Amino acid sequence: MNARLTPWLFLMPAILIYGIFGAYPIFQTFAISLTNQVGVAEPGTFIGLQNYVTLIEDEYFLNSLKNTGIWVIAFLIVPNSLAITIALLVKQTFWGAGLIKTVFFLPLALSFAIVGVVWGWIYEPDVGLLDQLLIGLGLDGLIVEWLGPEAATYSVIAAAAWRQTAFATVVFLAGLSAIPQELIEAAKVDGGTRRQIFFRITLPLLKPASTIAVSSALIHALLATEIVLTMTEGGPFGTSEVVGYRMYMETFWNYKFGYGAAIGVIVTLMTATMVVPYVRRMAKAQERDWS
Amino acid sequence: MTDMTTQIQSLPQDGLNRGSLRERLEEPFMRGGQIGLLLLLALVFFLPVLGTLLTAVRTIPDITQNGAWALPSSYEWGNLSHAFVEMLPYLRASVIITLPSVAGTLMVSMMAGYALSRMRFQGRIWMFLVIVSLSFVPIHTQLIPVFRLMSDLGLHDTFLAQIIVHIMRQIPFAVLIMTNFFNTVPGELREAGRIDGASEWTIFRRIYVPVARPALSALIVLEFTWIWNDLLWGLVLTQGSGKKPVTVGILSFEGEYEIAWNMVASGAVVAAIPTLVVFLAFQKHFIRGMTMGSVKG
Repeated sequence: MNARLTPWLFLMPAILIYGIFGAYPIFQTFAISLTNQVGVAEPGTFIGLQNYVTLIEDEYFLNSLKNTGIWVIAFLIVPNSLAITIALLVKQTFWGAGLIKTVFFLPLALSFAIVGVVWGWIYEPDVGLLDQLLIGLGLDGLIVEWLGPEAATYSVIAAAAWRQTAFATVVFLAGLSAIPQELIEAAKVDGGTRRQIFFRITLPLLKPASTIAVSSALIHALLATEIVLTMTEGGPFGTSEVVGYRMYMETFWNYKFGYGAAIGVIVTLMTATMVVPYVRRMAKAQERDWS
Repeated sequence: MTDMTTQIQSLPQDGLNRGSLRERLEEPFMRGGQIGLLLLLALVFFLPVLGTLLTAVRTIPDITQNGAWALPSSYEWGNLSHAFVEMLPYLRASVIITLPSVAGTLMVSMMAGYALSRMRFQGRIWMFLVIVSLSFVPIHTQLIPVFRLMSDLGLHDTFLAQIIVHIMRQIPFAVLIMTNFFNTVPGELREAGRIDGASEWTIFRRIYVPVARPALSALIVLEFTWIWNDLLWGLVLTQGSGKKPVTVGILSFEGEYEIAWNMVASGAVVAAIPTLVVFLAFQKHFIRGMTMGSVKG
């Protein structure tokens, strides 16, 4: 075998499959977004940036954009701070740690479809698990219409956060295990208080884990589609829609392929800007490894 | 007794180690509080699962009369078996889609990861960067053209279309994992093979594939779960119910039973069992895979 050709032969299957069914479609989406294509039967005509101009004034889209913003903020804070707390607590527990870990990791095995269906039942008015729980605890006053127009977005986020917390806990626990115990011991010997040790040693050393947890939260918040679809179908009256869901609806419900593609492009650009720091870090690490 | 001795033995050390007097006095309270908080969080975390299991094995009158959190007045295991029978076509479809997708992903990504990790060639770092970046490409930018392409190829509503698409979607992540894994394999293995005059393919097949077993098991568990749990491709690429995966099945199941929450919960339990079993049986592999440079979840 030719030495210069060999690597590419090994890469060929991956490049071919991704090229045809993954990369080529990405370019096509950009192209379709500049047309007024409706349905799959015939290509639309070129209309330039008209779809994007329409989007700026599309109330439904703007509402979904606002909701995606709420998703991003909530997802950065809630699952990650919960997970870091859980990871620190689990790390200090010696008995039953295996079982407790399993409880926290379990949601990772569940699909968003199932999480959506199950949490739909949890939020059901009156008979649902949450209302019943609050009534049982004498906290009836806290009950709201969980999947009503006011609260739906937050309720869906809470369900998704349940799953995201599981992932972040895995990541932070791995991060904590990677911190050499001697370092902590040494700091204790030197008279460091618990708080000092946490903020000056533990937290900075969790930086790699945090990068992973944060980028994962960002991506899941930006792309949240499946769970919105299964829990609320964007409702009531479109109040809980997110951009990813809007894209799906415009395309496969309203058959406005060109318009849907434009939303797809926007979702992609938003994701791209968010992951640049992460990709850069990976590249640097790899270059160090290989040089 | 043993407790006492260890305490006494470690006493002087303790005095050195444990920081201020205040911290030492707070210690037992802190421990108690920590354990209490952890158990509370675990309980809250587990409630959705527990509630679903309870709901699945009850009758509707039982739920409305005694409340959703009461113990079942009678255990209706028939709900689950009924849900299983109805879910069977979807479960079958999910198996037919998932297994070849996982196998295909592994083969393709092992080869690519081997080349990226073990061979020096022009454009290597670029290739790696492209693959890292591609692992972030949202499904939304591929849905429409892939849907169109599969229709053009006459593959709409087939298992093959879903299998190809899953392999495509998983390639970037899987290649990343395999590259990172092969990076940790000592290079001498390859040199030894070379001296013996083995071809690159033989070295890969005979030396590197067997060595990769730990990475493969982690990858298999992760890929199985992710592909099994996919919903959007299953929705977009299918029409007839025979080709729809179980994630789509649970939605039509929900539509069919509407407020029969015991049946909906049963359906959810049945649909979740395969990934739950895999997860519980291979939890270690799962976690290792996730921490091998993952950003998904």
